[in-house]
Amino acid sequence: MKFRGKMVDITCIKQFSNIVSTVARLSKICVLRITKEHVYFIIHESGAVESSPGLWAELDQGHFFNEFHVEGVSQEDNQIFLELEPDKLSKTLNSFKTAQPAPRSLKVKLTRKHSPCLTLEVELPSLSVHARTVVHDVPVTLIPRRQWHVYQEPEMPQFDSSVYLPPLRQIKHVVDRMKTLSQHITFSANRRGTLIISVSTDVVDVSTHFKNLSVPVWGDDNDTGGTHSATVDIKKLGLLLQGSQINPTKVICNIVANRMVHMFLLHDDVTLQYFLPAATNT
Amino acid sequence: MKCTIPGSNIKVFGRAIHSLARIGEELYVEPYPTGVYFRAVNSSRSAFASFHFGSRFFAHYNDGSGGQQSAAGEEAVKCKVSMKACLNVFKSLVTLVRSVERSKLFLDGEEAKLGIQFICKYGIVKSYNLPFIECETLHAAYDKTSCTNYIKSQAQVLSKAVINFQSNQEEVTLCVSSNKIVIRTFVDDVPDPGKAIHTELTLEAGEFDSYNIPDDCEVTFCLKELRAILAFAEPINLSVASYFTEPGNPIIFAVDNHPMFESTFVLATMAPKSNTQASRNKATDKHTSKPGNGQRSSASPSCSQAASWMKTPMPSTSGLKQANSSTVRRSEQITNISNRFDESRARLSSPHNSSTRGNHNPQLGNGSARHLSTQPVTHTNNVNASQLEISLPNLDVVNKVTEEEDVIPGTPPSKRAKFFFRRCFESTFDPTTVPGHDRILASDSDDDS
Amino acid sequence: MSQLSHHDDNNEDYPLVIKTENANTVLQLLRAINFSEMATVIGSPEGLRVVVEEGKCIQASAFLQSQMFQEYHSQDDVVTFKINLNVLVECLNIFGGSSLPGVAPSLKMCYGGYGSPLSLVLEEASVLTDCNIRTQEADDTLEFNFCNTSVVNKIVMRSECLRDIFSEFDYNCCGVPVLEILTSPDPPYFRLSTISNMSTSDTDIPKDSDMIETFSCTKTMRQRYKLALLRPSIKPLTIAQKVLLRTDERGILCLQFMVKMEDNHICFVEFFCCPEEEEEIE
Repeated sequence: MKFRGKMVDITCIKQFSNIVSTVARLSKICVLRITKEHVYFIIHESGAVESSPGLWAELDQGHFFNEFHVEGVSQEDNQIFLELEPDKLSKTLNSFKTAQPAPRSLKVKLTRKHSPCLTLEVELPSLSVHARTVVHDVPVTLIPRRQWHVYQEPEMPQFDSSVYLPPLRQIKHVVDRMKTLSQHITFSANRRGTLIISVSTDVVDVSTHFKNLSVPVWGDDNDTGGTHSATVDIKKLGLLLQGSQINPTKVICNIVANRMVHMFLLHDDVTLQYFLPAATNT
Repeated sequence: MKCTIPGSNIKVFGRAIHSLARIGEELYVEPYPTGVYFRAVNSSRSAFASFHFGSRFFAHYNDGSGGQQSAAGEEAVKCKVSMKACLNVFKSLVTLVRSVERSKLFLDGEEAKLGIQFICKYGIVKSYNLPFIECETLHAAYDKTSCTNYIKSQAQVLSKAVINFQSNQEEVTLCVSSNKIVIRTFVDDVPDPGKAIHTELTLEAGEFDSYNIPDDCEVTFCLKELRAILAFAEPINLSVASYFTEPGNPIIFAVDNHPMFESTFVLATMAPKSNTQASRNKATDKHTSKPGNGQRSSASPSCSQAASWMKTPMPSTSGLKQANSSTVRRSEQITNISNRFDESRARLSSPHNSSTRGNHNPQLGNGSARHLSTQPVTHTNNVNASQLEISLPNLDVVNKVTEEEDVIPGTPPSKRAKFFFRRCFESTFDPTTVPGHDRILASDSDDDS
Repeated sequence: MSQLSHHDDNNEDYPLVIKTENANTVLQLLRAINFSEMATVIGSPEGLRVVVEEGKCIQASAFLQSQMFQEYHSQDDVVTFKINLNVLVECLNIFGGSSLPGVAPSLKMCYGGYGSPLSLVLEEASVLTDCNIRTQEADDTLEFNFCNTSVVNKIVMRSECLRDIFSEFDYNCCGVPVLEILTSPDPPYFRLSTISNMSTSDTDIPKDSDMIETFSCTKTMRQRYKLALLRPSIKPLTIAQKVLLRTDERGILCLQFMVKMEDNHICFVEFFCCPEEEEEIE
């Protein structure tokens, strides 16, 4: 098995780094799936709603990497599945965010040092003729083929309501304040562009109303006209929103009544799907 | 001592305090006629930091020794104070720069306090009194000039390099060769070495202002302490020079801004693994324990020695709890004041203790404190040498540890004992590993009592 | 979940109805006294007084005069209730501070009388947030009986000076640090001393300092206070322009902060602190 990729565009490197930070915030362990066309970050939560993963991030390899070469397990199964701690990966990428001159390039390779590793080779500008190089070895675990089925692409859930969210920044402020008031947050929406985010406890009820939002067109006739809600864990939602550095072009929020909130963050070259199961005890 | 720091120099001074605070919990203040030293050492005695501010740094400076008029033996008051208390005074550099016009520092031997005064804008005056913890000094034995390897670079180069390492990375290995340096994470006996991130950074020789590496070499030291000196040097755009010879010998980082100020950090480096057993097994002169006492090749030979010295059975894990293996190996390298404490008290309270023999470490001095303090140092003609005049502790101030506390069988050693006799828990000190050990500064005196 | 509330038609029925174009002014004042979880609100035709106490030895009050609001309806009787100030502050801050300068959410506050919740409606950029905060029966607040006639010493000074001094104290040092305030017609005139296990410090401000506007001291007063009790005064010192420091015969310290709001309206925050028992110290 081989994998080798090289990024030279600083915007892509930063974007990649932001995605890894988001994944790191949400889970201690994640799966990195590498195919010819895409790179996926998958957080699979056992016991999650309808066996959907917690997070499914799909990156268009061609946008990020200048050079990309993968040799999977076999010709037919040209994929690699790795399990790693995203926090470790994030920490090595974090050094770009600090005030040092931008790296000239970032190479990512699958290597075998004392154990299988994802090796990052960074070329940094320097005072001398040669570039300064930093090499980080992040330990990974290879996932055998018999477990791959666990990490397949999730199906779009049968949702009851769907709406385009307002700018994530706005939602984030509201959710951050509500986080101090309650452990759970309720999303309510209809198919007419109204979204209500609320918390309710013994001490206080707070609800924020967004109107006239755009509605995604799904081509199905599932429009009952009603408002549907699901109540989810507010901390997890807060963690996802913390990475508003992602700045998606659009975010779709789908609600499966009383079961799940599904967020679909769309960028040009990256899509993130986050599945929030309804909290069991509201 | 009495001195005045002009407003323009307060930021640098404050940064020096911040830097020292990253090393030790106590600040040693040692004025001399030409300037004043501020020093610190870490609890495991593996890092020593010293800042010297020359008299030119100050608007006004008087070390308090009375100069030529002083009677023989009189010298400026020296002390140590709480680092935390001092750091609190210089806590907010931004506020200091904004509001302080000048600062006065003075040592009051009679009242045993360090006074710091800020004369601020709008007529406001802030005064701080920090009581002395002890009247003592701190020395480390090292000699830059005897180091074979030397590199010098802008602090920026090094600080931009170390940023690539995790903030919690304990130790790094510096591998030098004729054309480049590789800084690598050192992963010792962490719980799961396979799970740690390994990082390696390469710096070409061309990035350095001076690069003098006659032989390839690898030294491992604590990164946190290097960061402390870089934090001081980088904002003022100074160069940092590194001096080192081989693993097991200290690495010295120096920032030189003569005659205003200069700074030296001496960090212990890890002894090469193959040599450690050899140095432990050597039945060399032990100033704190009986020689030739059945050296067990167990994991804690130091404890067996300590046990014999203290004449009490000691739980075998007690010593190891204090220091991890790398620190144990490294702490041997820096001779310092607690060493002398142990030794003097050892003589006072344990008649069974062996007297040191001929080629014992000269820096350790001997029992008759007062006698030596008047002897000037004449050990080298090299201007850069670090050895200073020996001045021994004021024994009156030292806390006496009563033997009774430790005689009860089976009792773990008392906390104070652990502090003062810390070196008993470490592996054998081999005086020959200390650079300059063959230079005898003061001969052994016979009288022990 | 609360429904959208439109109270406009029944203002007169409510004991207390307040409207303002800028919720941030209320937020800023209440945040400054939020050192304890619960607050007592006293509403009268003159305005609102919000009181926070701790340990029966310190008390802070923020005065929101009726003039600072666009609309202020209050029935003749004084209404008083206890409320969770942490929650109230979070609600007022629901939109997370303005994205643009000069843009602030509007606020409407209603209180329906004994037993009803405090209801808030905040609106910014056509997003509406509705809050209902439970209220409780008010406890009696401390009455310091600080009347002007018994005032011994009085100093008016620029608050940033005192703020800098108070911020620099080491609140975390071991033991129970004490602050001694000396005010005197004789030198050193005005001295703030901290006494702790590790060190002592004195800050001397001469009476003719530029930072002091008025200095009126009739006799030498030396009083000690637990340093920790004065820490809550840092927040109001930060938002205020001037502070009036007074001590009376009993040694009680009264700080009155003059705060100039965004719309140039002046508001006051008052702070009382009881002295430490006299001890024989050298």
